[in-house]
Amino acid sequence: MALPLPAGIQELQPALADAATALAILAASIITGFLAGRRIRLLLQARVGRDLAVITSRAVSYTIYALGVIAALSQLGVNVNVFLLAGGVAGIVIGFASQTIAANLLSGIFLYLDRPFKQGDPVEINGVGGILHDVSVFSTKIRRWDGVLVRIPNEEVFKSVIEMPSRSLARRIEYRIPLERGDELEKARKAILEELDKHNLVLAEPQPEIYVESLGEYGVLVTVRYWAPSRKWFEAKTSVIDSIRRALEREGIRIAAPRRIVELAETEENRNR
Amino acid sequence: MDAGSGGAPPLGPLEEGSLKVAGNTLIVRRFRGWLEYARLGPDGSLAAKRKLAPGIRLLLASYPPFLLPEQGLFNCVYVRLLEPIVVHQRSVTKVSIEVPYDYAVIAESGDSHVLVDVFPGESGPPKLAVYGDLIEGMLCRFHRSPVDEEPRPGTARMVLHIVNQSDDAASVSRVVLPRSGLNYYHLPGGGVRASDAVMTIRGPGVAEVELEEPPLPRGSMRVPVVQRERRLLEAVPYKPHERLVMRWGF
Repeated sequence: MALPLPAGIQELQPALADAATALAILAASIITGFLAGRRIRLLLQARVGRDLAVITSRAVSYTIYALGVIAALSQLGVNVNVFLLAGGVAGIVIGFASQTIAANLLSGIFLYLDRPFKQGDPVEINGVGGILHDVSVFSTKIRRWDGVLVRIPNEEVFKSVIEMPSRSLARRIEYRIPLERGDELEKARKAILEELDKHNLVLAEPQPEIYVESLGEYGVLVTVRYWAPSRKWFEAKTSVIDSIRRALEREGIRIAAPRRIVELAETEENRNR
Repeated sequence: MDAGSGGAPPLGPLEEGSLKVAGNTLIVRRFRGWLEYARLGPDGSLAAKRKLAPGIRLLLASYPPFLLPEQGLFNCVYVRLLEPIVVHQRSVTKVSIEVPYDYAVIAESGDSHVLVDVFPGESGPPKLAVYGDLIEGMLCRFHRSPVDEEPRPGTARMVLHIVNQSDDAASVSRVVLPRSGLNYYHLPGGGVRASDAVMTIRGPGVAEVELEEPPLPRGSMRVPVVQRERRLLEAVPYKPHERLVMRWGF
């Protein structure tokens, strides 16, 4: 036979029950938030990268914790409208204050999803060219060709024109070579084509092109265009021009130096000189 | 002895002494039980040097052209036919073409084959070309081949079967061969034979290319796959008869 509870405790019983329920809600929200966060991180990590997976999982966990706290307080009879109102106002204030951060964060998320480039890719963003070092949540880091690490906010990256040369199998390289004598054009064309054909970094197809671009103060300006594998572009650009120069020299074809014809007007002063 | 003077290259075990191959001089000598391998390039400068532990054998092989420094950039051989071939609709045609090879010096230790050195054959500078679109296409080793002629030095003979399954006659001016399944064989009488290729024309501008083991005379030797390439091939699901779809025209 159960003993009757003292009067004071009997009065406290509903309050204790509410407190127990609140504690249960809190515990459930903590467990749920923890498990949901971990699950989301595992799911996202392989798809969108570690940084974004961690941020998303934390956001989900904290939201569940916050909802748990509000539900627990509500169970204890606390008016949660005050919290919701305060939260709303704080949200607006923080939102205004962290507009740039939010923009960078969102841009970072979209860059993760869009994946226009990957680590190690050569890129040019807003005139900054180099190797992509890292894309984090708020910024993109590029190791410039001269070795300097440059940080660009993600919002700027997202809005910029991005050049991704490695996405193309081949890149076109162009030289302009001024020839002194127009009658050596065919000989020069043959010598250059033979040189391009011998060079292993010059692609056979698309085929190289050689044409006269203009006749001017430099003599005959010849344009040489060829394609090289994107990953060997710089090596090709620097080595092929030297091969062409040597081939032209071997054939005795002279590269024109800049020249300008100056005519002196017949004036009294000139006549007296 | 010169392997690049038009005759069959002396492929197989590389013995002590010196050997001229495609303008290079290969020097093998024994020193305190070890083998020393050196290659002098066409300009006479030292291009490669290795020491090999006692018991390791050296092989000179005509190797599919995927091992030069540019390897990793491409996975195919693009053969441009010097004379396009016109074939009837719903017909099968067989022609002989040539495919380039590079010379590989391979260290053989039991079943294991390690690449010691590689250099281009006599087929000229190793050229590359893009087949198809610049973004979605393929970067391949390039070769211009005559049709139905004796293979030139530095090239292996390949039999190309063209199966035109379309309802129109087709003109074939190029064939792209996949890396996987392209094997070379040293023939007993000299010369090098490549896998056979079957090009099935499915429709306008689309064909499938598949490689097959050719009929070989007794005593032929298949060029062993070196470890570096074996690892590369094993990294992707390897199929001995890999198919390649030519969707940017033939």
